[in-house]
Amino acid sequence: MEQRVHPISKALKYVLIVVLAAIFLLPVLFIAFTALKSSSDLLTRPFYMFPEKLQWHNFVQAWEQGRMSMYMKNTALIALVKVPLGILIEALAAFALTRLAFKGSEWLFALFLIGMMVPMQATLVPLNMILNKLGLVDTYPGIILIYLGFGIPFGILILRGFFRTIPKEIDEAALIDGCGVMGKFFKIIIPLSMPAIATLFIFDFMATWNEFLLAQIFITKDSMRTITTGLLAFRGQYSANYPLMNAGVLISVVPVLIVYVAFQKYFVSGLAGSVKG
Amino acid sequence: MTKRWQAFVGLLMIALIAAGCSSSGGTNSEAGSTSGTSGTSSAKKITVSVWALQEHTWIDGAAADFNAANPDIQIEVSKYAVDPMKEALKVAANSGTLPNMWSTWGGSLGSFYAENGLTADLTQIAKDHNWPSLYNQAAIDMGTYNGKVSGIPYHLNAVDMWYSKTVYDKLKLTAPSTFEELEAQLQAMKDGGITPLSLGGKNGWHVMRLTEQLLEHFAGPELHDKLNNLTASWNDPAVVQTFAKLKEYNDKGYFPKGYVALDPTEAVNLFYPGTTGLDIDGTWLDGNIAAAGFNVNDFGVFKFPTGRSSVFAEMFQVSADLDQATLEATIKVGEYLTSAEVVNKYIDSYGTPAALNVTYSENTPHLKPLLDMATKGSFLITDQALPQEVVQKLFEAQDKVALKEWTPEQAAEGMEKAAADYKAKNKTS
Amino acid sequence: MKIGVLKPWLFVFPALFIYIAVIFIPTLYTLYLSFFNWNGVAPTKTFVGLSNYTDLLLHDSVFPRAVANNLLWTLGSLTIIMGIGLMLAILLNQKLKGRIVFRGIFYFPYVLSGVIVATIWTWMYNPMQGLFNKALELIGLGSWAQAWLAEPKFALYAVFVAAIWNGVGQPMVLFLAGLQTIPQDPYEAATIDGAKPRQMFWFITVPLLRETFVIVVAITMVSSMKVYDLIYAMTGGGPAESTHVLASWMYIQTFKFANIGTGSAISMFLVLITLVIIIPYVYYTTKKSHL
Repeated sequence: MEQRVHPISKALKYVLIVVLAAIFLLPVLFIAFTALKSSSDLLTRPFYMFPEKLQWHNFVQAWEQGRMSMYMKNTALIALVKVPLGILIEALAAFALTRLAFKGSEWLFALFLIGMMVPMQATLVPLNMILNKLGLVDTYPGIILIYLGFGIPFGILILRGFFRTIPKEIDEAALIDGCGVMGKFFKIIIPLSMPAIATLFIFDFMATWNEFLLAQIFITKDSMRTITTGLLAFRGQYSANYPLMNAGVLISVVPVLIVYVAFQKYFVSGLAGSVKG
Repeated sequence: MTKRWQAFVGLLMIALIAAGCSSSGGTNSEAGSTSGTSGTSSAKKITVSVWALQEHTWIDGAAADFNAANPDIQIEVSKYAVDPMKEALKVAANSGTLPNMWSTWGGSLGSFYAENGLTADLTQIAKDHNWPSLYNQAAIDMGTYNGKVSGIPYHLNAVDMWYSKTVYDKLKLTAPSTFEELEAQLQAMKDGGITPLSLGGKNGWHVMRLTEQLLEHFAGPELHDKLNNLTASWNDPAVVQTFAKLKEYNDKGYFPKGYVALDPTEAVNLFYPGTTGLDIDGTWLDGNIAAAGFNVNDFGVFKFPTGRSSVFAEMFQVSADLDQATLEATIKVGEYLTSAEVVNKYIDSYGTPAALNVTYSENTPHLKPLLDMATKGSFLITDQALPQEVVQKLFEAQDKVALKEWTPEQAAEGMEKAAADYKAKNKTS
Repeated sequence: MKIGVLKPWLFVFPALFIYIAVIFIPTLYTLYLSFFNWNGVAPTKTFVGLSNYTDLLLHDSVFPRAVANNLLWTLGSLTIIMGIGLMLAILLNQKLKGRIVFRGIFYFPYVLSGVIVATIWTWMYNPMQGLFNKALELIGLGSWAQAWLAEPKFALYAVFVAAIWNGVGQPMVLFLAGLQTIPQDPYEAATIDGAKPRQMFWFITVPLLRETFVIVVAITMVSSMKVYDLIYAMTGGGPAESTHVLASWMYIQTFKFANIGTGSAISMFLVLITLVIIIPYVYYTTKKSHL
C-alpha cells in the first residue's frame, strides 16, 4: 500500500519511528553494556553506565566456558528438522481445512485450537510417560515430536488464515488446467503463501531456538542439551555471572536474527498484485 | 542410525505417506541425514546416572576421575538449575524415570521422595560402611525419614550473620554478642547512612532467614521446634512479636529500598561493595564473594545472638528401583563423590562438605567458624522444616506485614490457618 | 483428479496424529487428574469429584486474584501491544528509508529469552540504582520515584511495560505479513475519490486485514491467558502473591505443593476459557467469509 502523503506528515512519521526505535534500543544497549563489564564493575556502578573498561573477552569466555558451539549445534539440528517438517505438516492440514471442505472440518479446527490453551507444564507427566513407552526419552526424535505437537495449533491457525485470503478462483483455474490436488497445493497455494510461511518460519525457528521448559525436562544428557538450558550454567543457586550470561545471550540470538533477515524479504510488497491482479 | 531415529522416521513416514504426499522423501532424507548423534557404545559396564545442580562444577572433575579409575562403572552427570531440578524430579518421579541418583535437599523437600517409597533404604549400608565416622551426623539426620536413611549427604550448610568489615570499621563497630547490641548496631548503621540489612524479599527465602532467627529469639528453641513440626499453634505471642519486629525494621528503613521485590542475588550484590552492613547467608558465600571480584577477608561472620544456627543439608538420594549390582555401583559412586578425597581435591568449588576429616581451603576462611557455630546447636532451615504450603504462606505474611496489609496479629492468624488447612488436608488423603 | 471422501483426512492425518499423541491425550489425562486428590507418586488417588474446582473458586486466596490479573493482562495485550504492533506494521510497510533496519529493531526484543528480559527490566526498575527513578530525578520528578516492583498496585503494570517491549514484535510481523496480501487497487480508487488516510485505514485496511486480525487476536488472547515466564521471573508472583496469574499458580500448586489435582484443575480452567471465548470468536469472525 503506497499512498501519496503530505511531506510534513511523512517527516512526523519518521521522527515518531526514530524516537520509538531509540526507546526500544535502550534496554538492548544495557544488555550489551552488561556483557562488556567485569563483575565488580557491574556491582559497584549503576548498570546503565558505560563499562569502565570494555571486556571483549567476556564473549570469548562465554563461548568457551559455556560450550556454546556444542549447544548451538544441537539446537540448530533440532530446529532445522522441526521447523520445515512442522510447516509442511501444518500446511497440509490447513490446506485440507480450507480447500477440501469436508464434513467435520470445522470441529476438527476447533479441536486443534483447544490445544493452544493447554499449559505445557500440565502435559509434562503424561508426555514423559508416552516418550518412555516409545523409547524416545533423551532423544532428538522425542523432543522434535513434542515440538511438532505444540507447534501444530499455532501453525494451522496462521496458515489457515492466510490460505483463506487466497481467492478460490485461482485454484479452480489451476484445477481446470489439469493440476491435481497435490499440484494445486505445491504449485499454487504454497508459492502464494510465502509471506505466511516466512512468518511462520521466523516464529517457529525462534520459538524452537528459545524453548526451555520441554528441552530441560526431556533432554537430560548434557552433550545433547540445547542453548537455553546450556546458558543456565551462568546462573547458580545464590549467584549469577551476569556479564557472561548477557554475552552468551547476545551470541545465542545471532542465528535467530539470521533467519529473520533471510525471511523478512518476503514482507516487501510486490506479491500483493499477483494475488488479485 | 539408532533405533530411536528409525522409530521416529517410521512414525513420520506413516503420517506423511498416509497424507498421499509424494514429496515425503525429501523430509525423510532430512531426518535421516542427521542421524548418528546419540551413538553411545553399549559395553558391559554399569552406567550410573546422576542429576546434580548446575553450580556443582566440582562434580564434572570428580566424575571424570572416577570413570578413569573404574572401567566397569560409568558416571553420567546431568545438571539442572534449581527450579528445573525440582520440576524434572517431580516429572520423573511421576512417570517412573528417576535417575539412579539425584541431588536434593533434606527436610520437607527430600521427604517427598523418601516417604513415597522412591528412595532406597540406606540404613543398613550406613551402618556397615560406618557413615557416622565419615559424615557429619547432623547431615545424615536431615536426610533420614521415619528412621530410614534416604540419602548420602554431600553438603551441610550453615546460615548465619555476615558483616562487612568495611562498614564495621568505618562505624567503629565490632561483632555483637547480645540481641540488644545487634539492634543498637542496626540503628547505628542506619544513622551512619548505611542500609543495615542486605536482604531481598523476592521469593521469600532470604528475608525468611531473619524471620526464623527472630522467631528463635522470641519463641525459644523448644517452641520454635514445635511450631516447625506444626505441633504448636502459630497464633502465639512469640509469632506476633516476630512479625512486629519485622514490621519495626521495615518501618525504620533497615532493609534496602523496595526490598520486598528485590531479588536476593541483587540484595547480596549490595553487600559486597559495602553499601549494606549485614547479610544473613550461608557457608557458600566466600566463593560468591571471590567470584564477584571482592576479597573474602573484608568480611566476617558472627552468631545471631540466639541459641542456634539455621542449617540444611544437601544429599544424593538413591533410586529404590535398582537391581543389586546397579545399587552397589550407585552407592560406590555416591560415596566417592561425597568422600573426603574428592572434597579435598575440589575444596575451592565444593561448597560446605558434609564429609568429616577434610582440609578447608584458605580461600573459604568463614566456612569453619560457621560450621563450628552450627555444631553448638542448630535448627533446620524454615523452608525445609515446614510443609511447602505453609512456607508459601509465611512468605506471603512477611510481605503483607511489610506492606501494611496485615497486622502482626493477622499474620500470626494467617499462619495458623495455613497450618490447620494443611493438617486437615493431609489427614483425609 | 477428484477429491475423494478420504483425501482431506489423509492431508490432515500427520498433524492430527501428532497432535493427538502430544497434546490431546495428555490433556485428557490432565482432565482426569483434576477430579482427584493426588501428590503425583502415591499409589492411590482419592476421587474428590469437582471439589478441586470448587475449592479454587471458593477457598483459594490466590486464584481469584490470578484470574483478575490474567483478564487485565489480556485486555492490555489486546489494546496496547496489538495496537502498537499494528501501528508499527503500517508505518514500516510504507516506503521508508531504513525500514528493514527499523523492523529489525522492533522485532529484536522478541527474540531474547525471558530470563534476560526479566533481568534487564528488573534492573531498570531497581529503586536505588535503576534507570527509571534516575530519569525521574533528572527531569525534576524525583518525588514520583517508586520501588516499582515492590508495590502491589504498580508491580503488575511494571511487568506489563516490559512485556510491551518484549512482545510487540510478534503482532508487528504478523500484520506485516497480512499487509502483503492486500491489493493496491482499492487504495488507488479511494485516493482518486479523495479519501483521507484515516478513512482508508478504517474502511480499507482494517476490513481487508480481517483474517490477520483473527489470527493476532486469537494468539494474543491465548498467550496472555498462558503468560508466565516474565511475571514469574520478575516478581515470583509477589509481593504478597499479588502478581500471580493462572499459569504461575498452577506451577506452584503442581511443582511446589505437589497438589496435582489442583494444578490440573487450574489447567482445565484455562482450556475452558478457550472453549467459551476464543473458539466462538474465531468462528463468528470467519463464518461470513468465503469458506
